[in-house]
Amino acid sequence: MLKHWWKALGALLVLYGIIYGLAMNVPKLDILNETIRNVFFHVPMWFTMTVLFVISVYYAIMYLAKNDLKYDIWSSQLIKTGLYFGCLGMLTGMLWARSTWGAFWSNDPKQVMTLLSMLIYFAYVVLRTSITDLEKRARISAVFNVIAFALMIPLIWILPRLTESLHPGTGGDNPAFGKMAPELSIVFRPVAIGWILMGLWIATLFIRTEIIKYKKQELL
Amino acid sequence: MKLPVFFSMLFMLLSQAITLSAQETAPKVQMAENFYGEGKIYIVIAVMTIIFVGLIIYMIRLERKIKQLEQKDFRN
Repeated sequence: MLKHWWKALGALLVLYGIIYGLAMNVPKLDILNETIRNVFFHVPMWFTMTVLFVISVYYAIMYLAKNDLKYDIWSSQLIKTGLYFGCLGMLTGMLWARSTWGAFWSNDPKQVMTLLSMLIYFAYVVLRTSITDLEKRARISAVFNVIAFALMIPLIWILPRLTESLHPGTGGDNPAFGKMAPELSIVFRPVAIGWILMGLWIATLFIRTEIIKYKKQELL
Repeated sequence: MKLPVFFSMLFMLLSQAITLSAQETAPKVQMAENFYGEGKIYIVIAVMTIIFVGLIIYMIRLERKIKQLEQKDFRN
């Protein structure tokens, strides 16, 4: 039971975000109004995706070092789970953008660059299905993973911040939402950690089923 | 990371929940104050809580099933 504590913590923190994030008094911001509460749900999707991708690239490197198929399974399933969270982040972001910026898509640097890096990761998934030899697939995937990661970090987390962007935390000035108010960030941080833990939990379920699948086919 | 850490984190969350519920500033900006005043938002919170807890229960059940499969030996 004790080794599951982090799953319980993740669920509790997300629950805290749902309950307190909706019930608390939020700063009165123009245009955003009550939608500022989305920050407890939309932004953690991206944090979770990124954390899962970071762990995935670690296992990709481990595979290249140790040549153990288990690392390939961990690495690939973490990417699949991360992409799920990325899709949720994209959909929620587009909905939020419609009400805040007036359009689902406005070719904002962060939108475009995030889409680009997600497409790179989708290519990873497609590439895997096209290789049947397990060793070959694992090796090519691991190398692709490292390259995708090296592109994703600047594309999502660095470049958009150096240009004008509708998203906060950038050179461009956002009239509604310059910097996160302290009363928001004090709630946002634990909730984001909760979502990350939830993402890890879901990823472990993916990994464990995949390992069972391999074992059943006597591949592992 | 043991239980004391877990409880101190929980305590931090609870204490901040209490201290954070008092702030008043500029009027003008339209907020869902009446909606909150009528207490209806709590229905939404309750609905979302039920759904989320339901999903968590589903995940726990799924994990138990996976564990059963893991303990099964396929090589026979």
